[in-house]
Amino acid sequence: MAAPDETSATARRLLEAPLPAERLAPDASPVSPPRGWQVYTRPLLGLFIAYHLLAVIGHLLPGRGLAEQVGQIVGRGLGGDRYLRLSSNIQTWKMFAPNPHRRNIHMRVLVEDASGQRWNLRHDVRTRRRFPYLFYDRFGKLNRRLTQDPAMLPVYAAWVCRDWELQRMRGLLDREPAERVVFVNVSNQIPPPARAIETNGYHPRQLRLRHRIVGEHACAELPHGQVPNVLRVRYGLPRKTARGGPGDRFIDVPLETWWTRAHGGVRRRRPRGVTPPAVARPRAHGTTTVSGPGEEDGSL
Amino acid sequence: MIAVARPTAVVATVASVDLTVATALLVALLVLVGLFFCVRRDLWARLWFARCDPRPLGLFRVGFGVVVLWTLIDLLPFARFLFSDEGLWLTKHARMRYGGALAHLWDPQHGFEHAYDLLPALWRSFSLLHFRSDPPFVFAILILAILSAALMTLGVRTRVTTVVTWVLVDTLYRHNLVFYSGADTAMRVFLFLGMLSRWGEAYSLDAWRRYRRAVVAGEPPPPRRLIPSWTTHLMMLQLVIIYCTSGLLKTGASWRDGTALYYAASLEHFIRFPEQIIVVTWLQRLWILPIGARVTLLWELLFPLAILGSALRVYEDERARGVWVGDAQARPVRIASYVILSLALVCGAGLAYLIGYYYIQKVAWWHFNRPSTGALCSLTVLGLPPLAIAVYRWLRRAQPERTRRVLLGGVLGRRLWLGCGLLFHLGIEILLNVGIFVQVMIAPYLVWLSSDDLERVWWWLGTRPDPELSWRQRLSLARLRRRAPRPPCQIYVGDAEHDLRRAALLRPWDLCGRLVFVRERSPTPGALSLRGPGDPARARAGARAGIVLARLFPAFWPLAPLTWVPLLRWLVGWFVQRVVYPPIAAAADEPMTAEP
Repeated sequence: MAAPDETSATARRLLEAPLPAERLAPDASPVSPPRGWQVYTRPLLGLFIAYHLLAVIGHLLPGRGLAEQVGQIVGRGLGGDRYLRLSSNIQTWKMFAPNPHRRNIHMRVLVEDASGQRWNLRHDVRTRRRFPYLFYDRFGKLNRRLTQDPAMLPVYAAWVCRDWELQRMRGLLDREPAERVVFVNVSNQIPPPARAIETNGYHPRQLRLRHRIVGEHACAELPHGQVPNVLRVRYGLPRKTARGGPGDRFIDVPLETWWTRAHGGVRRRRPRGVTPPAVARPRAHGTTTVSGPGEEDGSL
Repeated sequence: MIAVARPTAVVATVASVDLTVATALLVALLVLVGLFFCVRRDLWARLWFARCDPRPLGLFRVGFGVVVLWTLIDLLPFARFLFSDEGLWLTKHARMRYGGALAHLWDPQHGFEHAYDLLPALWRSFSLLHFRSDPPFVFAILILAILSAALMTLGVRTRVTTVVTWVLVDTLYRHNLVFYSGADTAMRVFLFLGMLSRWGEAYSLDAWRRYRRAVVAGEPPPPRRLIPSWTTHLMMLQLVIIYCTSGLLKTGASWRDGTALYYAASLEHFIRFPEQIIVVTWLQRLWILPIGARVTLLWELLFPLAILGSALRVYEDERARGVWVGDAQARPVRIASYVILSLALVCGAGLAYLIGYYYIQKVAWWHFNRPSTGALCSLTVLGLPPLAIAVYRWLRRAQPERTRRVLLGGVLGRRLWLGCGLLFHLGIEILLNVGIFVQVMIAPYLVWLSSDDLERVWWWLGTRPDPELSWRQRLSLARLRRRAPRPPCQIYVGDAEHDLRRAALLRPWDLCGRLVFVRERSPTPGALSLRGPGDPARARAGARAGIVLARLFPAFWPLAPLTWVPLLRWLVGWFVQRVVYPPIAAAADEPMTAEP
């Protein structure tokens, strides 16, 4: 057993003395000279830091104008873009830049079923959002993306078609099969500050809406617009046969792998009577209808 | 200069000869900066290879880890839609669009053609979800990511769990890009830097286990180790890059005429309540939003001053202590570095001429023709740095104390720049729902704190307003400055060394310095026994003691509200005392008091 004075010393050391921490002496430089492997690792680390900063700055330089070529030299010539992609450092910081939007723009998603009836899926923020808006809704971002990137519309439409059909086949949806997906751009102008001040504010749901059909996509013609066999098997549904008629075939996306290349490439078979996906353009562009103030979805 | 002369949004067509000149100047500038640091390797080493206190980075790990967890949990309801083959992308389509080389190098039936094909597949954009993305697999990945992020936040095997978190988070984010927001990008960028850092050295279970191992083994407590500063500095630079880039891109008319915040706070995608539009309109009418828009823009553009201030404070501090690395440099080396800097300045002036010529139509309120604007910009770049250095040196000589207090601590101080940032982000959080953007941007502020700042924060949290303050003073800022210690919590410690060591395990948790150890026989031998703050009546032991400690130790503050919930409070108390006061074996020659 320890002697009392020894115990007291231990108690002082363990319970009273400040917790030990490595500190720099007041007269010591914070940079210690390299020791051991640091002789080799420090220059390498320095190069890495310089390269990282160069890649980030080169990536953020404007793609047009005076810095155009330097951006290319750093991004492509020095492999900056590849490094940033590999390390998940691709970045843009356009936060409300160059201007915040002056319009509220939403993409309304409608499904036209086999009977010709159109159903609003309530995917757009205007019909989906419940106030107060406390928990972040990723659908909102995706809906904004649809308004900005037309290439996303067929992908989104294909999902809508697949999901509709799958729910229907599983008995979760009591509707006719989906024929096409219609995208309607719904927007309104935010009143300029002077006008808002005159009226002492406004209610955003009472602003005049502008509807514009920006795309129609037929489910039978969309790549991946049908339920694939992998999902059918998962839910115990009948598989699609290899040879099906129009509307009864899964249209795949053409993807060449090393194996398909070695065996004659991707066979881009299409069922008879089906329009090629490239031709399956939106049926009506820019059809504009203006509705009254505060009008909600309606059946466009 | 940029703040006064706003670049125009429209990019003018640049003549090819000027493009070549601009490219040459920019490349020369980069080369000269590189050359400068080759000549002044001492400064480069000071910038990146100094050792620093691990606590700010440790605290950042905790705050940032919570943000990562929040993001991942927030993704749970959308995981099926965003990542699984029952959602937006079938596996093959996602692989084709976002899988890079993997789409061609890997065949679902036949795998890779060669084993080495895995490397180029990894190189570009690799996600496990491009191999399979059925919902169980997606949820397994997401749950694993949540678990590893939680372990990273707690600091359990921090280096490993950070790397695993980065890999799993990236697997999710590389599946497709359609749902990204700025917050996601910021999170990934800082997570990458965190992976390179030693952010588990402080405020982590790793650090506590190291301490416990030594204390239990009868060794002296291990010191908290210093860590390399390069990742901390990269994080600070990254924050500067984010704000400054964002400011430079805000070239639109809304930011100049002061309507930008009005429009941003009116967008239906982000507003929290429709009724807030009335408040926003009033704020615009009272000139709060127009002023706020201009202040935001200036703050973002000038945020690099914050890092300049930090660098200057370090320089002044180390010069005063006689340890500044630059002082040891030979005169010829210093002269060579000044020559290189002058050449870099000339290149910068040439670039500024072209920028002024092509992009700036108006300086403050005056319109100039293009060559005059270019010349003005060029002269500013050429003259401003030497002038600023001369004025700073004169101020430092004439009034050193005031310069330090007003310039380094005020105008270039962290309080101003980070304080403005807090206000700015608080405004965003109140008016707009932009996900975790606010949280992910505020978390890196923690790496800007110094050791003194942190100690002040813990001291402040461990004290209370001085009871002698008058009621009027209590309502003023004096309550933040004049503080008195809170009543301590007395821990009973027996005489055996084993008891002392066990009690010492509590100390790393006591960040606010609330514990006092009393060498008195414990009323409940072997179990944790204490007398709570302001509770002289009776001693508490076991779960009751745990409840007291949950309210005292910052690490358990997230659980503290539960200590007021009936029944649950006992569970929390038991858990806390079990974690902070684990049983340890007594030495063979020492009589054991009791085991709990």
